[in-house]
Amino acid sequence: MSLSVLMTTEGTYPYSAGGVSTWCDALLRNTPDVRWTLLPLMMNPHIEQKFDPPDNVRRILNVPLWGIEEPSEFSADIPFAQLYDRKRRTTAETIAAEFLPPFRELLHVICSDPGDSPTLGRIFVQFEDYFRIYDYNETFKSRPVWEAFRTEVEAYSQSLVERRKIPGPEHQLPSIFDLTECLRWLYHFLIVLNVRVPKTSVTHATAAAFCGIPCITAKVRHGTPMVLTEHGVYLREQYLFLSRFRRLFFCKQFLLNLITAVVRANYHYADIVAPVCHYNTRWEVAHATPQAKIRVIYNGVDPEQFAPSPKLHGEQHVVATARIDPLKDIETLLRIAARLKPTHPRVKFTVFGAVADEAYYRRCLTLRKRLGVEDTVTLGTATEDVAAAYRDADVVLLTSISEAFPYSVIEAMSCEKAVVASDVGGVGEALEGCGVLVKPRDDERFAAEVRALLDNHSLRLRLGAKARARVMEEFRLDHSIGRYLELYRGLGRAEGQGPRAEG
Amino acid sequence: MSNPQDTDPSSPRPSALGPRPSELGQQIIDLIGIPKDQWEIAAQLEVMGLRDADARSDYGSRDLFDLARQIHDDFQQGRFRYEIEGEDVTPRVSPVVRFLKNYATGLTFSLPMALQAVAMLTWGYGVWGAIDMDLRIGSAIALGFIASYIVTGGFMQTIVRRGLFYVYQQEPWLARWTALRSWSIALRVVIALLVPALAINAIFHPLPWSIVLTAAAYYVALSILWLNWALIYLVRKTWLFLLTTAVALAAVLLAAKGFDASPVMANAIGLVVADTLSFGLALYHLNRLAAPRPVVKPPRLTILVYSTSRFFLYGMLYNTFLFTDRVIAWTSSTGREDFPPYGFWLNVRYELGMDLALVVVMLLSGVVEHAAQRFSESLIPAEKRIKSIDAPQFLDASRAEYRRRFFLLAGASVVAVVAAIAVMLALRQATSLPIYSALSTTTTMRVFAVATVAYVVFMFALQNVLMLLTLSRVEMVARAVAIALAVNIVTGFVASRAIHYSAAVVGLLAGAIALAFLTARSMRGVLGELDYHYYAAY
Repeated sequence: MSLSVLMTTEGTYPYSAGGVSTWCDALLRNTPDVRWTLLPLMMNPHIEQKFDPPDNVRRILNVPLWGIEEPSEFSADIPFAQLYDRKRRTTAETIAAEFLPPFRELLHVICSDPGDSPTLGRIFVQFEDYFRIYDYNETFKSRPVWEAFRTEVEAYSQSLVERRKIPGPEHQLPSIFDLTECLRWLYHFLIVLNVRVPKTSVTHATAAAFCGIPCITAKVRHGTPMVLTEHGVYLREQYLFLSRFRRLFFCKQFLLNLITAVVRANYHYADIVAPVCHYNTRWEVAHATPQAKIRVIYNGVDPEQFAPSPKLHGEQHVVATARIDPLKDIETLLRIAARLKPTHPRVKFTVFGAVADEAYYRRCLTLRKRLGVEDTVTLGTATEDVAAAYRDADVVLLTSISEAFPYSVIEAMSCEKAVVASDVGGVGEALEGCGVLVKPRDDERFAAEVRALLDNHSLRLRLGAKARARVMEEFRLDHSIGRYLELYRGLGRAEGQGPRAEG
Repeated sequence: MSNPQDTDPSSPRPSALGPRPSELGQQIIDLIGIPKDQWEIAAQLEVMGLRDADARSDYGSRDLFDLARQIHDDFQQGRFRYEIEGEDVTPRVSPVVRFLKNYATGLTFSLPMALQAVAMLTWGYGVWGAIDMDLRIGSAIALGFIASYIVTGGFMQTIVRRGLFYVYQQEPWLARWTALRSWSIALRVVIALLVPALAINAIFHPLPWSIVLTAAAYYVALSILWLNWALIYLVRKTWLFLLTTAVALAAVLLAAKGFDASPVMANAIGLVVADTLSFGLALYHLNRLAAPRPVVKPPRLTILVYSTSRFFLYGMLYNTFLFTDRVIAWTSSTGREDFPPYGFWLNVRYELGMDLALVVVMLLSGVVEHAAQRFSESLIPAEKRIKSIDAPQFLDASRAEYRRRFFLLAGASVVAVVAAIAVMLALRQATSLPIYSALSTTTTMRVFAVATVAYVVFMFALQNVLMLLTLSRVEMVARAVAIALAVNIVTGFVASRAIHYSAAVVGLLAGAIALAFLTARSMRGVLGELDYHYYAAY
């Protein structure tokens, strides 16, 4: 039976590089018999593609969230005349009669009950149906929607003030600006409801995020089975991101409520939640995902591509493949280099990876200078050939303070390299017994472990061999792909059996 | 000075693994401010490198989530101090300095006009037009000028609005791309429209070919200039309007006085200089805004046209409104002293009256610019300061601010009218001026008087228009301008045919009153629900 799968992405494939995109590309490329529809949610419509999807991707439905004046600017599937008709049909009366009731329900779920996923799924379907008849822009920018939003959200914040003394009305009650920003965000985040998605055998969301909404509505509408893969933990990442909104507490609260509701709906409607490591399941379970739904599928690498090979240069070399980002804690790597310099002055450190955070990069350069390791550590150079980068390494180092199941670790393992990595996320699940795990930020311990490996060739060989064996056994790309195909086939067989399943 | 912690890798650094949960909790609260819930704290704990094992061994909690919950509970009990810093302090600018700055920006729009007028009176030449030209050429230039202004009006708005949209979206290369693309489409339309115009003239012969061809040349050259100025406006370098005008004027004067070029030839040289220079400068600044990129995904043309159509319509109607009265006057023969030989014939007395009245526009444009700027600048701070449940307070404050702006403009209008009268009287004393005889005619004085009042009223309308456009209420503005234009046309046409050709200026006055009334009514409605209108302006 020929399978058709809808894959939805958010800020990743095919428009940005990174682990998730690498994973998507490998999955699409290695499943030639599957007919894929790709739905990428993207920041704006003008981002250049980083990947060329293979031919079995039959259709790409780009959904830009920002940088557009009309959601239909970049969709070619609806004739202009029809779009114009929608605008003409959208009046204050139709909005009040048909949009506001589910909209008020949505606000209730967001503000008061983010765990009410069945209601949220139903609302999303109602919205999709509504936006097939009426115009998105005209509706969201209408006076009735603003009034309803203001009334509902004010009532919610008043109730919070009555319930909680801290942080007090000054922060709990929204300013006019807070309300404006929140409703504008809602407009952008829900743009995906404006898209017509074809019916497929299975849907696969690559994050428990807004990109999961088309999968949720397909599940509610047609009973289409849904797979959800979490590489990182979207909810946690959003909490981290929005922590920067120190001055806009109300906005932070509203957005996190919205995101929590959407994330939980993803967990609720997914038939299988397939995180890339057990570590991720902690957040999933804590947000009401039944254990029975969870099936960890580790990332895999191609052992031919990442094959052991002789080292190219004589000098000892410590390699890290990480973008320059605070989460990668490059500062600890610099301190490790500084600690090793007195005893191992000839050892070189190279961090292969693009600069993701310019300010942090500058901070690292300053620290590198202060520590006197400018001639020891090379930073901020991306490489096209990651395998070659590992080939030249004696030790591969990962100092991240936050990870899921990083490709850099299993790629290095596949290259038979000795790996020293911080014990975060799912790193331990990959490296346990065939590499060295260190508490994050403990540069003293890190330095000691790296030193021990640099001084002990046979230990490096031994760990490298065990690591390669582990990859061959558990983290091969074909195994990983095979498990996804099994899931699709298993779920695909059930396709069409349950119309309008309620999850 | 180096940080000792960073120069000595063995020295202790601030660690997440403090000995007591309260210290850790305070550390997190200091970092994130008010936590939304325990999950926000948990995320921070994880990113600090803490693990479940650390939560157990160092804090006695079951796991990280349990530790996060404890910290959040403590926060709710008021056990942590928290401080949310206010808005960044913006540098305090003296209101006078701010006014002068905005006024200067406003002047950049009117100074080219003033420079042209001064050059015309002093040396007898402008970039387009010269005192010594005969009425036949003058009529051709007037026709070309008005046509260029009307045809490019919509495109100028489209270039600016869509370009600024992308600038605000932080997509400057796309702003550059759309602006240049619109510019090129506009130019093609400008040229294409010549075909039916010439065909109509060939079939019906309303004007002699000498007038039509001269008008066509000025029309194309001036259209390019307006479109270039739209690009310059987009890159916020409006002082370049004055620069290009000044350089082009210098070229005209050099050609005319230095090389004895005919007025038309001198104008042609000046316009080529103005077009080339303004396009070069616009392109230079657009390239500085963003380097060109080879790959662009343009939006659907139909949607793009639809989403910019209201601005296009507004721009076209607005520019038409400004010159309708002249067209009406110059196509009427009622009471005309100079017996027009053709259906369209320039009248110097009328034009002179209108030009003198422009003094009020020049003086008030800075005041209007200041009002629109302040309206826009003060919106967000007020919205941040005022809670939504106190929205009436916000609306009252906005109304009061609007009233202040109204009275400021009213005061400035009195000064501007006095200045315009003073300029007119001064010019009437200058017997050596070539326009002296025309200045003393009743027609000129009548047109000047009515046009001065009309322009004052128009500036009140313009202040409203700019504020409404700040809130993207372009449909309100376009509707108001369309009605005002209709009033202008009907009143002007009837008056110019029934009373006197110069009574076309009454049409301008009636139109300006209609525009001021309609936009004031729209503003009243908008100010009554400014919170909604600000929200919807995206």
